[in-house]
Amino acid sequence: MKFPDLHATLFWVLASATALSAISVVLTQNIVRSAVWLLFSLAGTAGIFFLVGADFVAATQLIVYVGGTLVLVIFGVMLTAQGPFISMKTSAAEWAFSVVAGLVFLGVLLVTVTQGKWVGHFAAVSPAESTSAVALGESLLGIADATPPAQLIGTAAPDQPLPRTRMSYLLPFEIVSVHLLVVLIGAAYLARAKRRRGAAA
Amino acid sequence: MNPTVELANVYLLALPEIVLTLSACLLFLAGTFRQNRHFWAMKSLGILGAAAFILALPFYRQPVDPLFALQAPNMVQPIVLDRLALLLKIVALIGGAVLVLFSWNEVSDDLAAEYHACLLVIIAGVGLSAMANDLIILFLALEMISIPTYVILYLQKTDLGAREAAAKYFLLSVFSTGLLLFGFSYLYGLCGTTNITALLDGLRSTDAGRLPLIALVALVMVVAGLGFKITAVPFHFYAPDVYQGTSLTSAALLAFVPKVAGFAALLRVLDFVWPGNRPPGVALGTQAPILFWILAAMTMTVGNVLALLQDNLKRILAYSSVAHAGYMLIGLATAPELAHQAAAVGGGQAVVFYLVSYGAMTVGAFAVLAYLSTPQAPIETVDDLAGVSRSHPAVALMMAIFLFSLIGMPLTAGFAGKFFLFLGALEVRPEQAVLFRCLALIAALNAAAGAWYYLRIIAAMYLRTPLRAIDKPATWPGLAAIAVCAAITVALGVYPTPLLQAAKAAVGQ
Repeated sequence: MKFPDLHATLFWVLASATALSAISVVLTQNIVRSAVWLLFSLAGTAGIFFLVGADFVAATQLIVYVGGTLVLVIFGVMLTAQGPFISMKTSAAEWAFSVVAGLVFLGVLLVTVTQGKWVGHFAAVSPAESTSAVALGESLLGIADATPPAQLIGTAAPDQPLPRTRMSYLLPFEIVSVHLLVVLIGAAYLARAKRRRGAAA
Repeated sequence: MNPTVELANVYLLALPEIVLTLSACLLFLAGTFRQNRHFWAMKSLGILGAAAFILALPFYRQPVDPLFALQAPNMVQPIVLDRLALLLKIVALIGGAVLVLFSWNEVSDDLAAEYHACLLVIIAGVGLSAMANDLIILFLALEMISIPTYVILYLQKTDLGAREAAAKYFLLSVFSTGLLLFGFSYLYGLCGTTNITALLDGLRSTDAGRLPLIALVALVMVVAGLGFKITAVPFHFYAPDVYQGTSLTSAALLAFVPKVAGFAALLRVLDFVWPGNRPPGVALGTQAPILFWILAAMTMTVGNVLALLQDNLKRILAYSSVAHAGYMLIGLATAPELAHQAAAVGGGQAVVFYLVSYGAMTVGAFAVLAYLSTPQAPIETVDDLAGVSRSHPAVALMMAIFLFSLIGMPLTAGFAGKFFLFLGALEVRPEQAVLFRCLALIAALNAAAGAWYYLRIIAAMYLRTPLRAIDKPATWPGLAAIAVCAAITVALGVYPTPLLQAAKAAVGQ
């Protein structure tokens, strides 16, 4: 790595920005503000993905979450809100429950981080040299293999790999398009049913 | 033997599903031009028949082996057509045909095309999830079942209760999908591959007792995610409300289809299916049988106890669906133990058998309710069924068969299924014998308690005088659906051997 210091500095900046925004999401009572804090948190996560060389995941994060989901949240608030500001009051019981749930989840994540001698772990790649999108594109077309032989973390690679067929992501891709078609039909009916009811009333 | 199979050949295995999906697209498109429920139901039956024909084609004039020989055992490929997949695809196609018959007159003319198209996509999803040998394809196939289900739930009824049911099912289903994906991501992190065969091979490269702790996290998450689909306690909360709110056809769909897909996924991902010489299924840790033991005991007990308190027929059947999921979980708890010994009936085998039996009897029971209901006078409570034996003797008799089968009376499929599951629990080797005898005892007590609420319905049908006249004109598709379910229920009860052998070959025990 050429600039370890720059890398580390960027990581800490992005990580603390992500974490602080995440805390603000929870603490803010106004839902629109909360959504804006979520924007920073998600963008920070995307930055961290870029930093570790997962450029495709990072781009997806930006497009799907920052670009799509967040806009949906804002639209949802705009279309359903009765007043200009929505504030959410949380009761003590809800606080207690969410603190417990959060702590359990934190425990799971801590176990994951401390237990993990992950396969090929933390090979920091400079964003300029990252080619994960290329690899994914090749496996989409079936040029490269999408499923490498399995290796359990902490053990040696199997000496006799299983006989294999090359996997491509074309079939999954087609399945997703069927999902989208059904969702479109469903959405059309949802909207139409509303209009029909409106006309009847 | 050259084990490398071309990718195109692998995808040819999914040809019936491809046909189903393409036809569904055509139905969506053509539904705008013609609105006639008889026309579209007939078309769907034809499409299902075509898919069955394509599925059967490679076996024509050949012994069963060539298609399976196309795939070497332990083959790393994204989809496999092994005996389990073949069996479940046949079950899915037959189940789909029954559901088409069942909902023939239950959907309105203007929604018929979309309804049947969604149903075809769901059937294709079941077939794909039975074949999936890759976490990504498995996940997408399960979603291919869930997403059209949301649409069907919303399409059929739009009153307040139905909308609540659809929203509830949607939100909880999405949540469970999140859990499932979380578990899958851990599996991927553990092994670095999404292929299930390769993944299990990697997990088995170490001693099951020395697996890292994250394997356990993955196990719990995957079971939780799939537990929603099979209505295992504590993921059953949605079932009674959703069944009650939605139409009878959707309720039957929800009771049958997600269970098939969920158990198929559990059997495959958690290594209960093994071809030939591999060691039995505790790839994800020795804790798996205990986890399923607890789940089975809780699910049976909660389902049966809460069903005792219900008066609404849909809620009774919903809790009964929970209870039967509990019985099936016994099979998963005993499967790793039974695989070590020469058991007469293995755990996974009993689960597959029970899955088919449960599907026939529960879809049949819902079909009877739909057959007797009219929009003006729906059959909702036990009282509504009072004296049906006088106005509709044949239908009442078949309802009695389904209910006796749900209780587990001899000569019905329910008895055979329960017998094999309980037998498995009693056969477990001495070190674990006490634990599993307890499970068998809990199951027997539950079956006895369950008899009460089913018998109440039978008593109402046969012993009470009608409170109101049920005058529904006879329709042949509804009757046909009931008759098919009744025939399967009785046939499996009287002569269970063929399906039992097929199930044995399917899970490889």
